[in-house]
Amino acid sequence: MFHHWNHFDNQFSALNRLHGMLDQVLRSPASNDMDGLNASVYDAGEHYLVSFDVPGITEDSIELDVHGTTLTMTVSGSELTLSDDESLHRRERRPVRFKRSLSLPDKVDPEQVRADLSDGVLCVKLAKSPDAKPRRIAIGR
Amino acid sequence: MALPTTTTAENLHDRPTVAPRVDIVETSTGVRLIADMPGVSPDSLDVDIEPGQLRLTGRRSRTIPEGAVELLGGRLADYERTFALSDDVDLEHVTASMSDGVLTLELPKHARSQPRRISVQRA
Repeated sequence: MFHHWNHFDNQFSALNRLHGMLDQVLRSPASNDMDGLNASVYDAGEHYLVSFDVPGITEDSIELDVHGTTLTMTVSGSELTLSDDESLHRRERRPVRFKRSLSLPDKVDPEQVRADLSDGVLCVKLAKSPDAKPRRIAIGR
Repeated sequence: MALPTTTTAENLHDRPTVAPRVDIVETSTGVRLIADMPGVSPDSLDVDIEPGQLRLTGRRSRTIPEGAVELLGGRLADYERTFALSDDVDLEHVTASMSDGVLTLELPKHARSQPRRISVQRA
């Protein structure tokens, strides 16, 4: 029982930390190009799932680094290019170019990170370190 | 590529929608519209064209495992946006392609609307 309450508390503080982190991301001076940032983070028990919108980006423009509880993503998209006889009428899209770190509540295993890029969405699956995975405690009779 | 003429507006009921960001480029033969629609596959995109109007609707796929706890919620809205088209767009020859969540539409103008240079022959 006691163990369960603790777990619950941990989840909430993790949530607060994440929100604080996102606030920082959105408010940092270098983030002018980032108000289009669209990210989600899920805790699926054994692993975390992080997804980011990166429209128009291919694999070779993405770098992922995992260190402890931190996932760092570097995305280097290019500007729209126009030929000489073309002119821009409306510009709303921005180059997808950023470097951001995300702090996860628990440590992840750097050897077990899988990233998929599909339809302009980057999905990263990060396995939690063995000591961070949820465990069911057997109760002896 | 033939453009689908069906509409998915009915299916988009009850799901939040957002207008995709677009760039509009004037080319030598017409207009190119580039729209960011991350999460939309070519199969879940509709481009509807009628005289005077172009409508984009895209359903965003969702892959959230059951039982997962959301720590940070992203926007998972579908896309919908309507544009006014000028009469000089040649509706029969519009082409659409989609890659990596980016839609590119080429909207050529009727040949009669395109600027022409008349070469002058020596008499």
